[in-house]
Amino acid sequence: MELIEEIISSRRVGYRRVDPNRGSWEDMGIDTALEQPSLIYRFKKTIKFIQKTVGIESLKESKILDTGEYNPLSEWLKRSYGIAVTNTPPDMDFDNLQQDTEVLGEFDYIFAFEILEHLMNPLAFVEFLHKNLKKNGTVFLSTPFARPRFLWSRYHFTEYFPDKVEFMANKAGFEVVRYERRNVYPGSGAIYGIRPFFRAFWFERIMLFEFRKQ
Amino acid sequence: MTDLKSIPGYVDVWDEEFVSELDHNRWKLIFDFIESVPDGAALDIGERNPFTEQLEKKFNVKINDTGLVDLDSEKLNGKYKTIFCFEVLEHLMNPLFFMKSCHEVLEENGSMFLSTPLINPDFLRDNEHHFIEYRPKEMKQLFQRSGFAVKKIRVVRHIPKAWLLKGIRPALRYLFFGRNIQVEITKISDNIV
Repeated sequence: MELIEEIISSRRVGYRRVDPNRGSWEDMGIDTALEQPSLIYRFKKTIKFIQKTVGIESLKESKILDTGEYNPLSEWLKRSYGIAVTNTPPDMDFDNLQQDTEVLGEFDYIFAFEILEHLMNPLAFVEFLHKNLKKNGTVFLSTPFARPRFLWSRYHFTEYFPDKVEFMANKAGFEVVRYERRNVYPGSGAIYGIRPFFRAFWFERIMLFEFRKQ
Repeated sequence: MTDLKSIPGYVDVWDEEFVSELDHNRWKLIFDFIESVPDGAALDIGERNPFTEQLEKKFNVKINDTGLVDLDSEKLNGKYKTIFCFEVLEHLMNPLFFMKSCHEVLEENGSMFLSTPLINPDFLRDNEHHFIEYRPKEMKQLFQRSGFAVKKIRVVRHIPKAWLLKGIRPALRYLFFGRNIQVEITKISDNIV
C-alpha cells in the first residue's frame, strides 16, 4: 500500500511522478530542470525529429497538445522558439476512451514524449491521441527502446519494442509514417557508475515515432 | 515503414486439439495453489477450455466463462464470488481497465486467482501473442491501483526437466527464466485510485 499512499499524497494519480524526492515538475522547478544539460540534449534531438516534418514557423501557428502536465519541454519550446502548447492533467491512464475521457479539442499536432512507458492502459492512451487529433494531423511520440530490466526506471510500468507501439498505433487508427531510434544520453554520463556506463554506450535509446491520422 | 516487423496481434485462441506437457504442468501447479473455492458463482476469463472443466470437477463449482471478448475495451457483466484468470493478463493492452472491470464484478470478500508468465528476456520469449510480461513488482502495483490486495503470491517453475536436453534456449528457460507467477487477490476497496 506504500506506493498507493505515495501516489495519493503526491497529487499525482498516474504511475509517473511518484518520486517523493522529486515530486512534480512544478515542485522541482522547471528552471532547475532546464539547467540540466542532459535534458536539453534530449530536447534538441526531439525537435530535430519534429523539424523533419514541420518547421518552427508552422508550429508557432498550429494548435498543439503536449500530453502530460506543464513540463520543461513545454517551457523550453516557449522560451526557445515561441511555440505555445496546451497540456493535459498528469494522469493519462484512461479507463476507456469512449466512456471516460474528455475531448480536449482538435489539435494539429500532439506530442507524447516519454509517457507511454508509464501507463497501465497504453492502448487507451493512444486512442485518446487519435480522438483529439484533427484529420491529417500528426502525433510525435517517444518512448524508450526496451532495455534489460535492470536498467529500467522504477517508474516505468513496461518498456516497448517498436512492433508493439506500431501495433497500438494501427489499432487506434493511425498510420505510422516515420520511426527513428536515437541515443539521447550524453556519453559524459558514463563516468557516474556502471548503470550509466551501460546506458551511455548500449542501451539508452529512445524510439521516435510519427503517426498520421488518416 | 519497412523496418518494423508485422505482427499478428495479441489475442491467443485456445487450441482444443493440442494440450501440451507445459499446459499440464501449469495446471497441476495451479491446482496446488488454489486451496479452496467458496460456494457461489464463479467466472473463468476467456473461452471455456479443458481446464475449466477440471476446475469444476475438483472444486465442485459451476463456472461461467467470458467467451472470446475484447477484454481491453469491454466491461464484464454479472456478479461473482470467484474469478479465475489464467494466462490472460500478458495478452492485454489495457490491463488496468481489465482489472478494474474484474473489481466491479467480484463480490465483496471474493477472490480472484490469476497466473501469468514471469517476464522473459526478449530472446527467450516464445509467444508472439504476449503484449506485456510482468514481474511481481509491476503486478502488485497494478492490483493495488485497481483496488485489490495480494493474499498469496508465488513464482513457480512449470517447465519440464526434459527441456534441459532440448537445446540452449529451452535449457536457459528451464534453469533461469521459464517461471509462472500465481496470485490470489482479494477485493479491498471500492475507492479505486
